[in-house]
Amino acid sequence: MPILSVSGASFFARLAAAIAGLAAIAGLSTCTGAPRELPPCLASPGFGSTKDPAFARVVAAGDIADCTTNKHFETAALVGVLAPDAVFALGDLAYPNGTLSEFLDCYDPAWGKFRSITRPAVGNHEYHTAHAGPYYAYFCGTSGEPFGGFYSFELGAWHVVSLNSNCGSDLGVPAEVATEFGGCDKDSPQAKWLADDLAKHPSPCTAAIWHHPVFNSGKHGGSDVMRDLWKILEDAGADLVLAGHAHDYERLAPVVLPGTRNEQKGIRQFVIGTGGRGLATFSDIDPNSEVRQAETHGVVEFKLYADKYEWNYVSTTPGFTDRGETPCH
Amino acid sequence: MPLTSLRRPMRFRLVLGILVIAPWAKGEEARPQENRPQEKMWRAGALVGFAREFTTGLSHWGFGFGGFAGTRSGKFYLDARMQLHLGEEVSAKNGSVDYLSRYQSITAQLSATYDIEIAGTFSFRPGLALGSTLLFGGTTLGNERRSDARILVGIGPEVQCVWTTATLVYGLNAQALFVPSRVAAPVLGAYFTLGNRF
Repeated sequence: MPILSVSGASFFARLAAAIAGLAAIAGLSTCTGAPRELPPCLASPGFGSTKDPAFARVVAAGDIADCTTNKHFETAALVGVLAPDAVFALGDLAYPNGTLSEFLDCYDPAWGKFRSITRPAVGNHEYHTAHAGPYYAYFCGTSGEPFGGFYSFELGAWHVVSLNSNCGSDLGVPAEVATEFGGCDKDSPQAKWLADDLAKHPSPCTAAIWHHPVFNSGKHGGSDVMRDLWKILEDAGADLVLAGHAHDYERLAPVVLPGTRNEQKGIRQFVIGTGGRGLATFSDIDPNSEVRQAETHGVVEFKLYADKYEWNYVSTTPGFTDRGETPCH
Repeated sequence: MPLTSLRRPMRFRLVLGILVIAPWAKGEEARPQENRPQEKMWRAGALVGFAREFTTGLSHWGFGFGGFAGTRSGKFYLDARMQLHLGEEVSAKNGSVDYLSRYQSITAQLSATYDIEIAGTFSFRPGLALGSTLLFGGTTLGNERRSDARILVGIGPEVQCVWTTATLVYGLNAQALFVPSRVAAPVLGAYFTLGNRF
């Protein structure tokens, strides 16, 4: 059997030639074809108004598209039936890495039909891809300034802020991410923007959405890095925080920092990580946890009235329900 | 990369590359096991292969090539490698949004392996690889661009399947690199190697 051989004298010349040849081959992998086509950025001029003048109907969930299980198609069907005025997508929207193909080929076929009314928050899995680029591209600027991830909008009588909570040390998220958008501490650009935004938009009812919950009985525990922003919301009289990250559903009592139940001034937080990704059980139960489950996927329907909010957990399988209402501060 | 995406210029490059590398090949019969050449201490050559990271969406691996140099002490082999991975370009657009992401990387590694002679000139060498990767590139969204240059340290097991002749060493390297600061699952890579013995 013939095998390779070379004279030692010409070795380095041949090595250089071989590397040049490999470099020529290199073009094989540097181009991957034409750019993917993003869905058109549909204008949503009516966003903010509501079908029913009495309330805004919102559907919220996070931790959504996992094309190994396709559970997100079931939750998307619930959203379609509920026909909301807005969808709050609470981060970790396309698993496992928030890549362009995961957004276009996995998230979009299910939840994409609500994209023009979706107001997202950026999760840690989005940052598995550099700068969460596909997330910002897919949502056409509805997710705030490119690479920023915090913004606000009006919905019915409510003012809603979406914040970037990627200030921790999630596996797979570069440490530089928090620096890139300014971080989450009280002196950060995001904190200054939030305080300014809340001052400019006084509202009897205010909600905030982000990915990492401050209080959490599920996997990962609470995210302390968001406490400074929570305090700003608390001081401004905010009512409601919606988060994901933990793959379960949990409703907590209204609390003020550091975690004291307070029906008058406290903010009620929901963890709604039941959008499609595999569910995970609870670990250390937060003392203010009122209701929790990790048995069934689902979404939460909120009715945001001018002076109160109602919630209703809608499950993909019959069984678990959670309904209630709380007045705004 | 799907084969269907190969375009004519790429085929040309492939043929060109093979033609350039072809002078390496000359006929020589494999030496029997008892004549297995062991006396030479040094080796150096080129490698080409592919690597992929599974737990992030970063695309700085992909096709890679580079060089290596190594020595041995008894049955222990020590190699130093330098590789350029050309990564992948990802882009998307509609009438309002343009997105482009492209990353590449340069990896410098040391590997220590132990030679297990299997048959004739063929050896199996399990070991450990340790190195750092300079990741560089950028993401553009509309008029906004973010550039990156980061160093990631990786460590993991490596297996070399090696054929040795009087002057040449060639074979296949496979490795699973863990990047402790970033991911839980490994970066998997496989490379063909071809080198000279001194």
